[in-house]
Amino acid sequence: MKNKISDSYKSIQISNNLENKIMGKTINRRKYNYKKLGYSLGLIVLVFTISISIVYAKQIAEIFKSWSTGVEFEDGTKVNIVENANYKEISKNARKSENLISMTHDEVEHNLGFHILDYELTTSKSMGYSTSLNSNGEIGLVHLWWSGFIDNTDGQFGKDGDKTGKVISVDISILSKGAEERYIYPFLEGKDATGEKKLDQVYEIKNLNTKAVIYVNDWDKARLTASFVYDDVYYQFISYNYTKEELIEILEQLK
Amino acid sequence: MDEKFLSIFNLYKNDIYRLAYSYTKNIMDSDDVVQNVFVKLYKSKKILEKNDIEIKKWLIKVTINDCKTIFLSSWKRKICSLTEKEENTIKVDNKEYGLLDEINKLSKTERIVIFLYYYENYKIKEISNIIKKSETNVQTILYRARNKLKKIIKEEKDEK
Repeated sequence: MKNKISDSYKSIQISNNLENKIMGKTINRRKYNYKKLGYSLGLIVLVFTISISIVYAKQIAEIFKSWSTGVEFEDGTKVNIVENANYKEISKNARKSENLISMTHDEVEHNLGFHILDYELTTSKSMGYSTSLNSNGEIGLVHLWWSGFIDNTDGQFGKDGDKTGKVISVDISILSKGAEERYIYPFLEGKDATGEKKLDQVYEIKNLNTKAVIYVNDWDKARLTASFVYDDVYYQFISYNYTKEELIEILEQLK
Repeated sequence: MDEKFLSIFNLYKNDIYRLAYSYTKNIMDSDDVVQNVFVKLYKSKKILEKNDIEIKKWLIKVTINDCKTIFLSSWKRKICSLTEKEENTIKVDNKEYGLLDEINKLSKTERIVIFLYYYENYKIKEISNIIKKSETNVQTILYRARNKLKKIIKEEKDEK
């Protein structure tokens, strides 16, 4: 009886399939774990990236956002001034003013938190400073009007129609991060969209390693303009009674 | 530690499987139980540090507990009637292997006691310790189980 009972169990044996399953969940588990760990880490990274993307969507979009501008001429041709320029990070403490206020070059730089091109032989270091605000109250656009960049006419230029003196004024525009569309649009359209004009030359400013589009306005032959973007800041050098060579010489001395 | 586990697994895998089947009378449940038991063993480093005999006793106790758990689950109670179909039971050639069909007609406790006593050769005291019943109780279960078996065998003979 004892042997018969004992022998009865011999027909019951663990299957190979079950053995493999058990090995897979025990001894061979390490390999599986590495794989699983890889997947888990991948998943964590993915979730993290998605979360960050959602939380910082606006900021990320701004990083990848860029602006471009150019000049359209009489014959319908368009010349690009810049493509893929970045929006400037303007100091949070930058002064906000809808009206032009007078600031020196140093004050402007200190106020904005970045460099604005300068020229050693400027007549005046003072310029007008104004800001355009977004609907959330933050600065969207900064506008600088440096009328005394070069002016040896004692402020008489233009008075009584006299435009004989040699004068250079600089119009500087800065689009800030988060600038609303209404401020970006004029750049896309071309800052000097109005008025007939003819291209004189596209000049590579070696000193700044950027190209300047130089053109003449039909309605004022004495006016020669050089537009370029340097360090994501838009400059328009508006000169009167300067030859192209003279203007280029000044552009090459900017620092 | 892996070597120790492997050695224990190869040594006792069939014994534990037979015990599980004795209790559940079902291949699927036996597979689940045995898998759980050996995974538990693999995770229990302290148990693996013990000697083989101690480890086997631990395996038997855990197997019985897992079998009980399976039977206690409501899920099992509901589908019990379906899983105990023929394809889920081991077919035995009685001429070669003897009394498995007859043993399966005993109660769960009786089947376990029979298995531990006749197959594993445990003494009454050891079985009492494993299934947590008094020695007298184990003796009684064993006595009844033997008598039942004899009766079943006699009845089967008479039928033939």
